[in-house]
Amino acid sequence: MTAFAPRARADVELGAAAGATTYASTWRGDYGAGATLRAGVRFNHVFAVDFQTWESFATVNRRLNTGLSLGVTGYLPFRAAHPYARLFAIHQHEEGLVSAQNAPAGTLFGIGAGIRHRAGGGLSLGAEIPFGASRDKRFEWQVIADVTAMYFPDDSLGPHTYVGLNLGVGFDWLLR
Amino acid sequence: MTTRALRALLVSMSAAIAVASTSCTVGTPIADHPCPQGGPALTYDTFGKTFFQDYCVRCHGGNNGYSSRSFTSLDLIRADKDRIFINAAADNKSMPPGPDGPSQHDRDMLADWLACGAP
Repeated sequence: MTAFAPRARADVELGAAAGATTYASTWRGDYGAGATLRAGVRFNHVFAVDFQTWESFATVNRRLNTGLSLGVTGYLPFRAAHPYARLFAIHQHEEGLVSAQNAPAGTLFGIGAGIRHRAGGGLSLGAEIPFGASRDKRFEWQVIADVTAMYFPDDSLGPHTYVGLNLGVGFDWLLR
Repeated sequence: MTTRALRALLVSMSAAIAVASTSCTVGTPIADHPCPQGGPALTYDTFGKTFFQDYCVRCHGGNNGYSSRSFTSLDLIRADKDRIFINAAADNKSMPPGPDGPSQHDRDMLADWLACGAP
């Protein structure tokens, strides 16, 4: 009779990053810039479930875009860099600055007149470049850069497609 | 390598903040746009009705799932004229969505019409 061997526990990391974003959309003359935050849990250095948000200003309609995404990311854990691909679903709020000024809390929660809601999907391709670590190597700083494309099927209230660049700094913390 | 990457990050973040801050001017209210001397030259029948049909009622046309605000009658437009002005009239361009909205001439006419009380 074969005994079950104890299964090796997976490495689990917490990761977070903050950075800047800039993009263009399929609307003529539409360009944007802002900030982005990402946080997630990574398993065995190769797979993560993560949340990323963007808050940005775009030129057409002088609007604020708030993107909330939930995704999965696959990594290649090389020593010098960790290339990755992230696939995500996104819910985006788009509203004029006037609307945001009238109801700032509404901007954060997506509640109020003048906020246009849309759902879509996206893909990011990029890499993390480690640039510092704790002595025990459980904590690592990274510079992160990626190209992101988002697609929204309903283009009656906003552009179909956004393509942009995200650049940030983040960390990974090995829990076990 | 690390120093260069950090410098690039700082430069890009500064550029993003600069772009956002130079572009973030919030709208002109109706109070800043007086009715032209001599009174309004436009009316709902000669201007307002067509303007709102062309640019607004697709979303602001009643219970269509896009907006709770409806601009299908003169009374409804008058009741919301301050908000309409700051979103779409004169140099305000938050509405309608997209780059292909009314011409600047039409937005200026909307501003005059609303400022005169939307007759």
